[in-house]
Amino acid sequence: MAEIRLENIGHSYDQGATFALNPISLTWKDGDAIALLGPSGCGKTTLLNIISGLLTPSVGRVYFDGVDVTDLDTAKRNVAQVFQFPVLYDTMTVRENLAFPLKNRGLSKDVTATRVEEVAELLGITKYLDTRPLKLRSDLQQLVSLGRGLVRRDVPAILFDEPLTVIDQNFKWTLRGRLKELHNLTRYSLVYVTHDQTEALTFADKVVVLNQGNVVQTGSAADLFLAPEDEFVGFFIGSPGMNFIDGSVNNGSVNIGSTVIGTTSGDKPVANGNVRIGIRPEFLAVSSTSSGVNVKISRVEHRGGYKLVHADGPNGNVIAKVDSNSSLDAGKTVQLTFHPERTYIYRDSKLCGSVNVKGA
Amino acid sequence: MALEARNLTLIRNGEVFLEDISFTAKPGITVLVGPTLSGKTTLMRVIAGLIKPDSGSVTVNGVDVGQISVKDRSVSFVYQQFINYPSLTVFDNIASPLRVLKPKISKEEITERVHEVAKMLRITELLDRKPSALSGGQQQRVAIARSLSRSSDVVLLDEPLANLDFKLREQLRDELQRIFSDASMMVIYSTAESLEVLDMASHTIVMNEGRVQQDGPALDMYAKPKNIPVAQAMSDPPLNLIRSTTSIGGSESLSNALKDKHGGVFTVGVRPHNIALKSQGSADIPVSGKVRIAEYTGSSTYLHLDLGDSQELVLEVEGSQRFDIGSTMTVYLDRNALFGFDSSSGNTLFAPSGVR
Repeated sequence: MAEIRLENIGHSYDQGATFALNPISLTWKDGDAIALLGPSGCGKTTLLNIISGLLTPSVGRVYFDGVDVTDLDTAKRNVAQVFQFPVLYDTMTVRENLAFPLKNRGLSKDVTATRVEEVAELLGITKYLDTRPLKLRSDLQQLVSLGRGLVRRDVPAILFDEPLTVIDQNFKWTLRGRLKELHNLTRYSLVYVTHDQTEALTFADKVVVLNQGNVVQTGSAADLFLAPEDEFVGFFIGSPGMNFIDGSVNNGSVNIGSTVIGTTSGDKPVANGNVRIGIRPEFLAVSSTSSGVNVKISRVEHRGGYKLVHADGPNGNVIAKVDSNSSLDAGKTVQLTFHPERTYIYRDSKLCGSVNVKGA
Repeated sequence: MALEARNLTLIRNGEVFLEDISFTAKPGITVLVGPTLSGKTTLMRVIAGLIKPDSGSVTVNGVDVGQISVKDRSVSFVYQQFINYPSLTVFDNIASPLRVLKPKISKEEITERVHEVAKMLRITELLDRKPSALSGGQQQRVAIARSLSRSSDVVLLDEPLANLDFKLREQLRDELQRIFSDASMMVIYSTAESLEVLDMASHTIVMNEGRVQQDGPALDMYAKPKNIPVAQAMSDPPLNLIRSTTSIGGSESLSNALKDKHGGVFTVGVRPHNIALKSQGSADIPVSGKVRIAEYTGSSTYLHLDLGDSQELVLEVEGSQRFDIGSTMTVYLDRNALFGFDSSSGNTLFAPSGVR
């Protein structure tokens, strides 16, 4: 496996009029599990295709272990790929499917057979070796697709393009766990494209969040969840996403309407003016207290394991995630309590400080 | 106003697609949930009149639709793969079902109706565009708008959000609930995902292997599933299912610890959020296993434990905690949150009180 380095990579599908992917430089260490996460049209598939060689970037260079592969086609780059749909030959057994890439390279029968057994063992599909792939469940078929990439010993990286799309809910969990375990075992270099936050966050050590052709934040699941650097990350990660409440900063004091909720804190002072207070539903409490920002509960959704309290405040609606046995009801007026360490200030959609919550 | 399916059965080449399906859908959203191949799409196609059942009937507002030709049925169908006419503008796409209505309606009425549904689906500013110039989410909004334009009695939405981004789904689910909350039409919405079911919080029908397993409000089935397929359809992350013979330390097994709830050997079900790292009280049941993987979402950690004997337990713990892969640890099942299922029939033996 290899270190992947992207140097000033960008792509335009219309001769430079607009960029689907704005030029970026990234380096991923050998053995990293990376996820590219974003909504459709964010540039994540463009980026993956540039790495696999399906697409030549308009600008920039791609290096695998320091070797410039920008002008090599997909076959020469030798990357393994797993797509949305399993790509398998149904006229062959699983064993023959796995052997096929090696046979094509003229490897001996013995070497091929041993390698196929090894990979099947690693993927936990040994007992299906003599089955036709279409007889298998879709998650097992995806493992076979992955196996076809893995049989080659010299692949620099394995690329996944939304591989769980056609998998049923329960097996999604199984396959996702299997991929994670595989990475723990092998430390292969993996790049995984998805729009599904849970898949990206659980799979990868490092998640690259893209929006409108730009990388907006790169970090671990905890980084992206606990401290979104951009409002988009706050919105896109988490379900429901982060609450943003209009507020203002006045000489270090942070206000929502006429209520002071705390003071600014952070590396840099926050200039006076309008801001947005960002707080995740998990860190927002609603209860009857003597002071604080008043909100009126508009509806309470019981989601089984937890409840979502929707409330209308002076500056828009907020959602708080509360315990399943909470007895809050619609119609009630309550006060918001902000988490002392997880209340942030955003301006022009960028994180610019946090709130030292009053009384906390 | 209601849609009633009575004893629908469909068998093709000896394979049972639908077996004795009966339910009533009232105005508003009815959610149809089940895994792939459980019969959801087939059932919708039968309701639409695209497939004739071997036996049984579908009546809409008291009229047996089997007696009405397909083109005269008041049914709209939206598929997972959004379908719009590529050469027509969004306006004309939405207007198309109105233009073939009999008796004919006036141009002014068509324009008014198109604007009304476009506003509902927030696509008014897209009316002059062609579908190819739209994002996937916008295209599906157009397809839904077209299905609503002629005010059919029945609207069938077959996994309409499956091809859309996770976040977009969240948003569109909210909007569909808003649009249909006081609608007079019967909307059947199918999905394979329990998150969607709990989010929609509507009347829900759980299907499995061509049969209706249970029918009722979503939360009721989450709390009191009739059997394993229903419990599974209502759990994401998936429900853990372990054998009651599983050792819980020493010579004790789960069966022993739960003998007041049910005697003998059965299957124990527990949702990942009802297992804790520390004992919460003496009623907790300790289970030991080896850490296989830890998955992080930022808000929580899914810890997979290998219990041996090819059994696995997944627990959901808050925050991002580190665990040593391969190490052995003891976790605690909340005794009051356990389900018991008959191991051969899958039927529920006992369920927690309340919503767990």
